[in-house]
Amino acid sequence: MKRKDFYQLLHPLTDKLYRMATTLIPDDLQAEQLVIDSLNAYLIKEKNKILAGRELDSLSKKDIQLQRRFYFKGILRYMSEIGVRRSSQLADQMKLAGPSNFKTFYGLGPKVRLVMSLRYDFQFTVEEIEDITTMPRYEVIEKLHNGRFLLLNDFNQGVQL
Amino acid sequence: MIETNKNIVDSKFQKKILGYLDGSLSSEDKSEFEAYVRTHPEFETQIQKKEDELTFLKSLMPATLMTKETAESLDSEMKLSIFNLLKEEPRNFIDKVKNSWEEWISR
Repeated sequence: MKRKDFYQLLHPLTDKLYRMATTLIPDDLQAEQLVIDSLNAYLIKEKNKILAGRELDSLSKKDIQLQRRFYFKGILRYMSEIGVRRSSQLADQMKLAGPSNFKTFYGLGPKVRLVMSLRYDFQFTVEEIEDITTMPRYEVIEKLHNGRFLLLNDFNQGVQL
Repeated sequence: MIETNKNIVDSKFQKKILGYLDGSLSSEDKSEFEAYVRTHPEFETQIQKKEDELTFLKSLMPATLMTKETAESLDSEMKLSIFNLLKEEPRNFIDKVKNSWEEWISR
């Protein structure tokens, strides 16, 4: 696959990659940097495989969608690893300058936010989340359960007050 | 007695609703759950309720949209990364010319 083909494949994903990054780090510049770092890490690691891929012209619409999803998941794998680490490092800074909206969500641990977003925003299955985050199945399910409980519980308490 | 048994079965499947919607049930549990729903259409309202809860849950999560400036800057950064890091090592003069040409037209 040529470089311009790969860029063309990835272009429609920019928005989603950024959204995922802001889930982990609620800061415009940091989120942008996270997208670039994840993409760079992916490109360095998978360069040969990408270049050996089929030309975009020879792919059917369905194949293009499959390829796009495949690359999206690949980049998310790096983003989850780098993002969780970076989010923990920036935790104090985020507490000071965190967004006023979605306080409860950003109060959750980075791994919980990651799993919640992959499942409910990006509609990945539990198996796919296991693959992207390299967490064991029980941990993915536990984080989904905890996140759901904490978000809804906090909202219900807010309503009661 | 029969009523009690029905309640036990109901609560057993109620506990599985979230797992079903999350896609975390095993294939065996999933088939069992779907078979139960087919034979108990009234159960669908409970599934709908949980589905609504999950839709609401999504509204408690951020869905940040990029500003035009961020979109432009991110796009150009991504393009730069792809064109710099996916460079094929030129094997001969023709490859060198091809690479340079590709770089030039991608500017």
